[in-house]
Amino acid sequence: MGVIVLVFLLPMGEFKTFIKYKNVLLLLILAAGFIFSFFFFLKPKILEIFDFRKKINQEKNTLAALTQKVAALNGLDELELERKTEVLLKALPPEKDIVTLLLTFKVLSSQEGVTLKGVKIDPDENAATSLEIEGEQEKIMNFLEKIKTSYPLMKPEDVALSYHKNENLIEGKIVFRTFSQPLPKSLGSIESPLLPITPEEEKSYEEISKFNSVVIEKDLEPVQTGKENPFL
Amino acid sequence: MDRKIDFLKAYEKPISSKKIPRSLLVGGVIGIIFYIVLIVAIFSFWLFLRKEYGEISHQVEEKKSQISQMRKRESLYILLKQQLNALVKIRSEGEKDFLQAFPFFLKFQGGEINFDKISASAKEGIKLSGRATNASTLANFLSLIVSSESSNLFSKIILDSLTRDKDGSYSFSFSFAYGGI
Repeated sequence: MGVIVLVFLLPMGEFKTFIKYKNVLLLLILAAGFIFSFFFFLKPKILEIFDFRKKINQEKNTLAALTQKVAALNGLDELELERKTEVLLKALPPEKDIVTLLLTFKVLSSQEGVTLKGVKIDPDENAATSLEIEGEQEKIMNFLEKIKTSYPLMKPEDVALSYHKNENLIEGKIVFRTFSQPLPKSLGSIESPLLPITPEEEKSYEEISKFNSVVIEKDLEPVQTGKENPFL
Repeated sequence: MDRKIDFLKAYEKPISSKKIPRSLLVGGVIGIIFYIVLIVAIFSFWLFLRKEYGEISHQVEEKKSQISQMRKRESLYILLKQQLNALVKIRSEGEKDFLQAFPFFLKFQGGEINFDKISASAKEGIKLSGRATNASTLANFLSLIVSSESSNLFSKIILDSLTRDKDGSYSFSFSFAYGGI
């Protein structure tokens, strides 16, 4: 448009020159149009096409992963998950549960007729827990077996048994390793896939679910002492 | 007859534009048509891809909102998975469950064989010290200790010491290294 306006403003001599070369000029304008449209329309669109294709592929992959995750989540039974998690939290508490450990030792020793002479529990997560016990050989072995199959999970690391002379009594010092597992801090991104539970994990759960809970909720409730109403 | 000649009138050559060769003209027109078709095709394809991208993005958002609604279930599952993973690690640490070997020793205790001390460690093995009332009891005990049952439990059995006491009894101490436990 600007070119046309300029043409009419040209002096007569130059107008004649313009008429003479108008076809050439037209070609030049067309060529300029080609170049202009290529750089300002065609090239950006072609680049956007490549970008879209890349983004579409990424989104397709994300969609496939999310669809799989939705299907997996739909297939989970919330009640069963709660039940299993509860069992595992008993086996592997988020932190060293000193009260439960103490009660477990106390209840099991009295159940098995073993004298609990000393207990040392360090609040440090990695520190070992040690017990000093006394009792008959069979009872001590039963006590150890029961501890091995009780919540929370414990592993005997060192056992030293001394036999009393002319008596059927054994004095023992047992060092246990206790375990805890802190709760996950975050759920991760919404796109992160749900890792399937492996047969090995399933087997471990089956084994641990057979363990016994020595301490029941009632044992952990605080015992009320003194008057209910101090003003009476 | 008078003829007037106007000498001042100049000859004007008619203005004619430079002619473009026909082949160039035809080629140019075809080129323009091709170029326009190309632009339309690219623009249409761009529109199609933009629409497809929008649809997929919408589906992704829908799935994300579905997952958000099941966040509690997901968190329970993640917790369960983490606990199971930790449990498997603990159980596969390779530490020996030496309590399995205790019944093997304890069946000898009492009567003619009396133990003084048994110490067992998950890492170092089992150490056993005791007393046998006489040589034949000791020999019998030794043969039982190196039986096939013990070879399933231990890889190495070392007799650390053996002493004959004044009363004819024998004091002994053994070390057992874990094998098949």
